[in-house]
Amino acid sequence: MNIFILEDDVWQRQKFVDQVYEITQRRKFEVDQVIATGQPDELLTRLTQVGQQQIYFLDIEIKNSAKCGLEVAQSIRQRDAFGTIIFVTTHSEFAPLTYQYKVAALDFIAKDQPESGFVEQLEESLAYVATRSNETDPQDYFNFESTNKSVHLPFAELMYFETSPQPHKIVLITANQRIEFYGHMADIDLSDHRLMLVHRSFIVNMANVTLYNKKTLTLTVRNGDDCPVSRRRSGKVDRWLRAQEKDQQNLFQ
Amino acid sequence: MPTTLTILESILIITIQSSLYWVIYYQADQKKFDVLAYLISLCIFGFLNLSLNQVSALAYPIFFYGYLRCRTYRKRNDLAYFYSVYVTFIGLLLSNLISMLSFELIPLRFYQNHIIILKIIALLVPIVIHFFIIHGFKIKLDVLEKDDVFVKREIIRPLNYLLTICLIFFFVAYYYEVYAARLQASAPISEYTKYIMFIYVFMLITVIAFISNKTKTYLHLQLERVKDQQYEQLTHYTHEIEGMYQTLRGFRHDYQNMLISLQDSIDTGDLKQVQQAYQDVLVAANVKLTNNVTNINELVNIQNNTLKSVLFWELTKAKKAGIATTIEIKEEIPADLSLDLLDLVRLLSILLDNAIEAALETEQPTLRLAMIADQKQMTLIIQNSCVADQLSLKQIFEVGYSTKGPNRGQGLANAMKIIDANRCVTLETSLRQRQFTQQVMMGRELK
Repeated sequence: MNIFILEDDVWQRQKFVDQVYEITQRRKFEVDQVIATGQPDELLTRLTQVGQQQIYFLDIEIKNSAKCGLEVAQSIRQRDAFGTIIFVTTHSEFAPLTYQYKVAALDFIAKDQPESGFVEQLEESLAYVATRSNETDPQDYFNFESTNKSVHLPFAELMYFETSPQPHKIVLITANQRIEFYGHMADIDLSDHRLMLVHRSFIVNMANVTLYNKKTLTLTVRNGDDCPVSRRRSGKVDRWLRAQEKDQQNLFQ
Repeated sequence: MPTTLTILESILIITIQSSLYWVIYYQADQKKFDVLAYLISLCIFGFLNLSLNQVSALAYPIFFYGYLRCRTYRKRNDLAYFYSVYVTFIGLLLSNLISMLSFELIPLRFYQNHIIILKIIALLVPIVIHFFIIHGFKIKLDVLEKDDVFVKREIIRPLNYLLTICLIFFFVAYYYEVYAARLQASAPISEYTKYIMFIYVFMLITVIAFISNKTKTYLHLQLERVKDQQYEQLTHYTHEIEGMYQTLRGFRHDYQNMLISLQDSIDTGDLKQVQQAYQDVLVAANVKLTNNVTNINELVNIQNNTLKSVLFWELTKAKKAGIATTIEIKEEIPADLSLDLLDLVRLLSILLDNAIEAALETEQPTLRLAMIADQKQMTLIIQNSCVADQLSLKQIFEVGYSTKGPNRGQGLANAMKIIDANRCVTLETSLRQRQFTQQVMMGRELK
């Protein structure tokens, strides 16, 4: 794990580093390096690795610097999509939703709270990164650029796409999200072989299908929702599922 | 040969005739085109027209009422009735008026030779006329869908009476004309037709003027209501700001006292007491300034007063209900938004009411609201604590769905209607770790 700390107050920075060492040694977390600095530019130049094992603790207000914590976070995000960003600041600066939206910040830690609470939160966030496995393969992502937003999600979370009453608006249902965006069903259908247009207004992620009812012509996906299958495309669905079954049997043999 | 031609002709006429009513319906009520219902109506009307001839005109209001009652307006009997009568009345009246006019103005021989073309014209011209009526008088019939006492009592009910009377009169005159003409089997009864035409035009103008006048009155009323609400909420806002100022002043007073006592402790050199005093100051300050008063002052960044007061109102409501409420508005939110203000206010109140209701079911209710503006769009995020761990994010937006049993859950379905009616708006919903989040994005360039 690589730990980055951005804090302009020398005393607070030193104390922070001590606390981080104390926790990582006690909990036996593997630490490659700890980089603590008061200069945003220095932090960015020393940012060489990226990925799930990176954690950044950033103060929002930085004295003597043109860049504030948010801008630093944005520069980090541009290079590192999977690192964990945590803001360490005073209560009045808290804006978890805003920073989650802008740079996907994980959490806020308040400076102006009793030390025990501070250390506890710090330990929690370090433990979060330490236990973060590379479970979701960063390669297997669904990417779609639409006119109003870009969708970037692990493929395994996709359930299905559905058209909406508003023309060209598409609704994506994932394991725990419902996202609307503008686009064409045909483009999505072609973007991956696991996505199949099973009905004029439904594209299903076939990898997440749990049940296919041939009588009612419905596909049930992992989150429990049902998607209709048109008669014309039922054969295609059937073949796909049978081929997949065969693959799995081969895997077990 | 002539028989097949007449059958083809009558099929053509029936198709155009049925389409006329559908076009008028969709001109008035902007809904998605229902192909299946259209095809079914063609069959029904065609069959009735061939078997019953003129009497089949009576089938139009009955069919439309049945269709609307079963599909579009299941819970709005009055609206289904209104649209069925309106569509039949306008369609029949206009096409009849046009055919009468052409009969009067065009020489008889030409009329008899080109009867098919004239019939088709009489069916197509009403569409154009209706289009100009809707746009010329700026009639917005979607107002009628609002669940409002004024709309129901003062607009739809009298309108339904008026339309019914007009339609009955029309049918009486129409059948009298058809059968009287047939009985006498003589030349057209011109004198009678002239009077009828005047009455038709008069009826049409009455209906249109009534609708246009009443819907405008309703919009004015709505504006008045919003203004009243705004004033009331602004008063609340001022009170809240005053309260905040008082708390700050109180805190300053306490703070000074504690610093003085800290001075005493330092003088005596008792480190334990110094620590104690310091903790008191720090902890007390935090409790006072973060828990008691949420950062409601961030509402200052909203330029639009209506939006500001609605947000203030909803958030104080949440706070009073015992929900830990926080607001994040770090950037200036411009006054002109891509979404119509009334729609935005409705959307916001639905989402916030829902969030409050869901949060109150949890043990530690929380509600967070954020507004973020960047170059491309304005984003509104509402997050609340939620008992459910898993929810069908598809079903919650369907009419009649609610976690609290039947006959509720109108809210999110209405929110969806507003969102779907505006091209610039998209919604993102998520449920993670018992936090339910709604994210509304209002684009600027898509307007």
